[in-house]
Amino acid sequence: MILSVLIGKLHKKALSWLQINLGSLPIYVSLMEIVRKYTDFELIEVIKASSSADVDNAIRFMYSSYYETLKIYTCQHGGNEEDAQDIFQEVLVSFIDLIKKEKFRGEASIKTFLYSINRNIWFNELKKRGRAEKRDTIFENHKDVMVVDVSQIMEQNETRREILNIVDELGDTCKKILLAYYYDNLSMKEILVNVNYETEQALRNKKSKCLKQLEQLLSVNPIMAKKLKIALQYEQ
Amino acid sequence: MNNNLNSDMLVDYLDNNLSQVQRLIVEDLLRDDVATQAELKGLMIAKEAIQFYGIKKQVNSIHKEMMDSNTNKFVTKESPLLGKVIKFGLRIAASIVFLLLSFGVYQFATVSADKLFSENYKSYSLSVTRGVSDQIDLEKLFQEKKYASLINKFMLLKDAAQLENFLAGQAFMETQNYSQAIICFNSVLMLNNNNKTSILQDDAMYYLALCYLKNKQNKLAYPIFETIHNSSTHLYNDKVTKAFMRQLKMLGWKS
Repeated sequence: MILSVLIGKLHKKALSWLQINLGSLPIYVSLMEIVRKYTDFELIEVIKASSSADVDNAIRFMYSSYYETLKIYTCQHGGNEEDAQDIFQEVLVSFIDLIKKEKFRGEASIKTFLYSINRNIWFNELKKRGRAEKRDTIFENHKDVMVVDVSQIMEQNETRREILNIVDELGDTCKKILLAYYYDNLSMKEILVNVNYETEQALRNKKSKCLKQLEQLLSVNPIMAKKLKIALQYEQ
Repeated sequence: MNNNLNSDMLVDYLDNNLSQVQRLIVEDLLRDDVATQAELKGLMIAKEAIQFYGIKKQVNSIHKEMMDSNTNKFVTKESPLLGKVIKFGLRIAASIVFLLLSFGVYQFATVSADKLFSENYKSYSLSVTRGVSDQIDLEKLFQEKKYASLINKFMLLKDAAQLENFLAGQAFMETQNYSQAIICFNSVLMLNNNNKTSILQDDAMYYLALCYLKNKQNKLAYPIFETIHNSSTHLYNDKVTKAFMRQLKMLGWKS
């Protein structure tokens, strides 16, 4: 009896300590389990403003909450598990990109939105593979759930894949520096620790050179350049 | 590239690393110079492309992590210690289940009517002698283990009572004539039923069931053993245990 009261008190103290020290992040730790959950609002805020590690947790949460459902959808409509994995990755990339660019209007729940993106990416994939019959069935059966207009994203999906290929043409050092600066938002001082440059100025010059190199790669084909611009900025 | 503008300055403008004065210079140029505008747009697209690439890399890295793990249920995570305890518990449980299953399979494979009979049969022993002369003779022969003589004398009897039938049944069992023993024990039960008595009733039931078992008549043996097992006041109730009944069932499945 005394032991159980003692354990209960220790448990409460540990919980309150963790809640204080972890701040507003909705992480609840008990002796039995660690649960990480986000509301739609929290998820959007974390993706929009947080560090890379926080976004990692948000992505993990989306995998744990939505992947199985969307996998079932893809597998029930002519895809296999590998397709479902590829499609879900594209869904998350598009979703995070939209949030970061503040293009997600929040008219539907995140689950509904992801479902719509998933359905449309898979629809386009079937179109690409020439499986018209299956594609038409999907479209007819799900007209009623077209609650989100994600057509823009889907139309530019191929272009975005092309963007990834172009960036891959950059050297590893260039990619590392540009990602650290423009994606992870690290300062030159922080980046300098991880790259082989003696001064911040040398690193700054290299970064500038890399960005211009990428700009050149992206603008080689004027038609493609226009498409890339539209795809990246979600223009119509 | 506009000749009046240092190329790196445009990148610094994009990165918001210019002083107020420098910014104004760049913005002045941007207003009038189409080439500079185009270059800035190109750089902006390059920046967005790298950010998009970053998202893809990050998602891909988590994707691998999630797919490498056996489960996709990451909402709830067990603490490492708890996980170890659960795993250890599951191993023990699995071992117990395996042992129970092995024991069950072993029992099923080895159970037989002869084995059950030999484990449960014990020669009957008489402790009290009765008053009637024929009965005294039979009891004496039984105690002296003169089973053949007992059977001969029993065959000459015109009206055998419960005790004579029972002793003859025991003698037949001792001489391994189970079919005759069955007749004798059934006679005991029938006489008791007709006379509303219960002389040697429990003993006759138990040995009758054993005879059926030895005689491979499990379907007749099972209901008698079941009656004994379910009756806590039966003399042989403690002999017909749950384990025994389970083995009897197995014997039924085998046959």
